[in-house]
Amino acid sequence: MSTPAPDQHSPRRRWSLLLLLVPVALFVLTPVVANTVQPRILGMPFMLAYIIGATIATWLFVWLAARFDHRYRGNEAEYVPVDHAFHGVHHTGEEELS
Amino acid sequence: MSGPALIATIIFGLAMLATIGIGVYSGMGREKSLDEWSVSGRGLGLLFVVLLMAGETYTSFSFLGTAGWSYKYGVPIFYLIAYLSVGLVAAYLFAPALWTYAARHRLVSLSDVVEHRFQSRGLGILAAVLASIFVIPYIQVQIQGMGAVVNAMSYGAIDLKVAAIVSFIVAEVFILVSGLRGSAWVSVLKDGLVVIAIVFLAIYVPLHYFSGVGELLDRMVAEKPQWLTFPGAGSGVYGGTWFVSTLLLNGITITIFPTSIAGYFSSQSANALRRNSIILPWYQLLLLVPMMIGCAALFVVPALADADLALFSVVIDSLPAPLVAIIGVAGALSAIVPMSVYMLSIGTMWGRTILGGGLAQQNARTDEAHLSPEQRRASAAERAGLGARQRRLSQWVCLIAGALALAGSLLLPNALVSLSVLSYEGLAQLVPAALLSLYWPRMSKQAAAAGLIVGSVLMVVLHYTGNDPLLGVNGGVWAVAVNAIIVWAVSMAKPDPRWRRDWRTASAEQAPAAVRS
Repeated sequence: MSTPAPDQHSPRRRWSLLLLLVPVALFVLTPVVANTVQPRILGMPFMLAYIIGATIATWLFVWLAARFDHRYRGNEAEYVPVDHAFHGVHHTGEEELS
Repeated sequence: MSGPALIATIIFGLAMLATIGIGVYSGMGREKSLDEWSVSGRGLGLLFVVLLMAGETYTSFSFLGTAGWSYKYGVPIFYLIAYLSVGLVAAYLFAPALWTYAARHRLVSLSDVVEHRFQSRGLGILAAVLASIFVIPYIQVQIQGMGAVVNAMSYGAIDLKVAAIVSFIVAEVFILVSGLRGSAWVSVLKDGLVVIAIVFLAIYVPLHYFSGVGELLDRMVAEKPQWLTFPGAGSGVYGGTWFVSTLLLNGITITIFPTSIAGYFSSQSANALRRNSIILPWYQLLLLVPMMIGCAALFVVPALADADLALFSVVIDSLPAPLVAIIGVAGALSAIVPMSVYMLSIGTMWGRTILGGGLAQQNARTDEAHLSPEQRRASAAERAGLGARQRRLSQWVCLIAGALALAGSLLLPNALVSLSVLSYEGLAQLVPAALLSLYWPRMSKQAAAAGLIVGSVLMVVLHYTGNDPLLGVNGGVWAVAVNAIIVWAVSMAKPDPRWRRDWRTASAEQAPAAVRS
């Protein structure tokens, strides 16, 4: 289908996946930065507002990570290192899966 | 039977009949293969995938335990939203990876993945047995949850045990006939009702008892501040460290839960799973409603003996019978759908890996390029026969697993439930073997087995010696850390025989063929 990249053995980097760390960090930091009732936001105790914000941020950052992820944009299968190592499957998305 | 109880019983009965009808109808005219039964022939589109995965978010725990925890402890219950969200983030990467691996090698369950990755049926069997031990109590929790919900919604007219038996029969009928597709279709009814019920309660309850959510929040801040910061009310074991360690452990573990795996493998494409991770965080916000009602219950029914009934006590106190019944049906279906998928996933693991001969016969025939068309047809027919046999075995085990859980809920209601709190910690021990192993070709079966066994034993010991949480950190995290260190050490000493130092750059032709050992 597409022209194979010069080095098809090492998969293209997917830097946008680093964005996935943001929501995880937000939740992990909850007890540190949000363990308080004040300030209340729209009447909500602070931690409640923080959790709602972090949940919406989860949607936002997963969406952003996908936006810039070539595997998502190309509806490609995922790269599985053991398949590369043991079954000689280097790049996927062009093969028929099912 | 009183008037309201009669109305509730009739509505409940009709809903159960509708559930069976939808579930059985969904499987009509489908082929009789293991693939179709266990993973819907890998044919579900985005909508059904989202419904199935959402179905696992909203279980009977959401109606009972979620409100109960916020009633008893307060903010520690946010761990639920936190780990489900982190689980979706992890699933963005891991769900398509597991899906790709399974679709490529025609795998249908967690134990299939382990068996194929290590070319070891023994390790597959170990994984299947451990997963079953930790999942069957979960089925029992759902059966008992269903009993509690139905008993409450019928004003006590339907006995706990009768409700438990009904839930077992309804779930078994549609799961045995239609497999995972049945669960996906019933999820449409279930999640439709759940969303309607939850949105209605979100608006109605604060207005009925308070002048609105604002007053409820003001009263929480003024009268129950302990509930609003860690470690919450009560004995204070659920502090910040527990919260962080639990959300990370559960968030990763949920990606290899046998039920999540069934949902992933049923997907048509990798992107349906990635989109699922984008969409579902919004669904988690619905969980705030039972939490809010748990808080409302602190003022409405301040001295509940059983905190898990916080939500239904408020509902029964404030609403007429038909509405109570509809909310009860939503709660009942929230037990039945996840329960059916739990039973199916146990059935599939046993039906193929343990009783059905594993992947051996299937693997022997993956390389068919050299066969003549007649031979290929013969091998396809043989595979279909094997698949049909594995499907029958899976259905039997699905029935037996459900019956065991039902017997547990009728005879030993407390014994197994105490095991269910260990479900995540136990299944976490499978993360290195089932997930890490796909990313680390060097990892050997000896390493996976050693880590799995030591991790599981350590986890159980920590729990039963009262050391969970240990130093505030979830015991499962300690166990999985030791598990991972063992996996690393053994793999360094004894790598997978197929592993080669230059695997990243070696070309396809040189790659060793899969060898069964």
